[in-house]
Amino acid sequence: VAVAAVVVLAGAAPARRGSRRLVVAVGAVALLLAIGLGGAWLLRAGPVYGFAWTILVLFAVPLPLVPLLYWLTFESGVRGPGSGVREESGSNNVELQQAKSGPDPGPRSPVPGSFRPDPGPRIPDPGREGGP
Amino acid sequence: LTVLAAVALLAAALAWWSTSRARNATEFFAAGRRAGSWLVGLAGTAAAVSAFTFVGGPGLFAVVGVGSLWIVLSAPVTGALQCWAVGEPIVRLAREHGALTPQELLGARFGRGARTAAALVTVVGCVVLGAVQAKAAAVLGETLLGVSGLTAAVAALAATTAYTAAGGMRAGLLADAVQGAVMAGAALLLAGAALAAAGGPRAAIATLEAARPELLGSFGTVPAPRALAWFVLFCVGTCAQPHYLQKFFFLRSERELRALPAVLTGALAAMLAVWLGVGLAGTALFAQGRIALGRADELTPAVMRLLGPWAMLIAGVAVLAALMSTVASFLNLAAAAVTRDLPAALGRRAGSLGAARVATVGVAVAAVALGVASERTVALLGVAGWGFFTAALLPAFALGLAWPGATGRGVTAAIAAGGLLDLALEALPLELPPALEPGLAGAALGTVVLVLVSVAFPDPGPRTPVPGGGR
Repeated sequence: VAVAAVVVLAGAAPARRGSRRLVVAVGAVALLLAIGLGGAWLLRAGPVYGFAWTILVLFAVPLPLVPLLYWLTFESGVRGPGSGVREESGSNNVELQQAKSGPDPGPRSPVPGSFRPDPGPRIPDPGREGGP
Repeated sequence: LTVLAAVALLAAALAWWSTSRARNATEFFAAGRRAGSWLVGLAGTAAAVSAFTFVGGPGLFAVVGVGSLWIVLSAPVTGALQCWAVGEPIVRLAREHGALTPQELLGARFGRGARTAAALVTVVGCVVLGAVQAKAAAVLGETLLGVSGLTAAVAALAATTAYTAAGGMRAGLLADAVQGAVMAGAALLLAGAALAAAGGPRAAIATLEAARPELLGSFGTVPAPRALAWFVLFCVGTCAQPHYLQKFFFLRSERELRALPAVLTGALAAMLAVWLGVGLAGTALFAQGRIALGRADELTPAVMRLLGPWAMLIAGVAVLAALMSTVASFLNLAAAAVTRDLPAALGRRAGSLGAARVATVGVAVAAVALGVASERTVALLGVAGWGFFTAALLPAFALGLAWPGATGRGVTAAIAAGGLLDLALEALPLELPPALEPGLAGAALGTVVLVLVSVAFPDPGPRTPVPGGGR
């Protein structure tokens, strides 16, 4: 259940991005968690081994690995679902009004999303294409 | 008293510096959206780590051993998980919609009902968790700083309120980042010193293996299902804590997300060293008869007393930083809900920046009053705090922002159902099975409700396209 819950949540990203690298990364995290949790269960009665397994496999190993996987699979400016603006009558969102009528106070995502099913062509992102 | 006076002076200086800089709502609630991953990562971790990590965590290790670590074993995963599941859509949608807070983002995506429900959850949760931090400040004053509990609570909350009301998150972000660095350094130092006092990690483990071997199994003395439930709750719950989500609104661009999990994870791992180091060393020292304990929460103060006055001082400063950084986020989020989201529910315009400052002070006063007046309520809801936010907000942010079929009615119903189930399970005198965490149960119910209501009652009519969609 633990692995499934984490994978379902992390799976939201592959669902949005549709990237094979990301699916592999999330799969690797799930596998590591499954191994770690399975080992912890098997060593639950072993005093020092249980402690060592828990600290090493469930904490020390994923500590650098998971952020590294995120770094390697990161893509900016990828369109996702659910970005349609809902108009609120009597809206008090000053920034929303500014965003609609005037210049944006901050940088925008390179590919603004819409709620239409057709994702359309993706605008190349120099930062991503030229990244490490 | 010297520590509290120094904190008050620094807070006053920060308040003076930030007053002229927080001139609009974007500065006040979203720190101007100019922050990079280092600043946001340190500040986000500081806001996430409360006094419990320094005092309650090591104490819990003394009672249940390795089982207590299942609360923090999710640390390597949570930074990336947050960014994957909710950070990326939040950063993108916040830019597109001009939203400044999590509840405002739900309003832009799902309408007024979802925004109102999220605002109510935020106000209730933030006031109660602020009261819990006030209580923690009182305990800190009495056990580590040597002043009365009321003095410590009022001084800590007043200092935090001063810079948060004056400069909002423009000041809060900077203070949180500095506090995060202090907490990380202090945690590593105290953990190392405690382990050295116990003869080193090997000696501490050998002591416990001989005296209390049951503490060193994979789950300690905690039933395995409960340990796993803690792991899941604190793993997925990070995607639903408004003070975590708030930090995504501060980033200057989506690309800053790339390094954010590394910063979040590194800072969190450093701070959690105190849980393992002081917990393991303190329990071994207790087994050796070198410290005496009346209650589990006395473990950290007892170890610090053994180490000397310097350790008491550093631990006091670290705990003070932990609770102040957490309180700052709660005050700002609740002020946003009171002055922006709840007026929107009534069809009114947002309050001015002055109103937000007054609301910040009002929320702080309410938190202190609740903390002082109603110990039972605070204890009850404080335990439920993390689970309450998880139950109420996880389906909305994790599923709602990822699923195109999610509707405003579905999200509103999910927030209400999840939050109410969590409160009911926490409040009713029921003997729950070890694996049934109220927060997880609420989140599960909320997810089912979100899907069923969204499918049964789809939103009518086409949505308005986003300006600048380019097609």
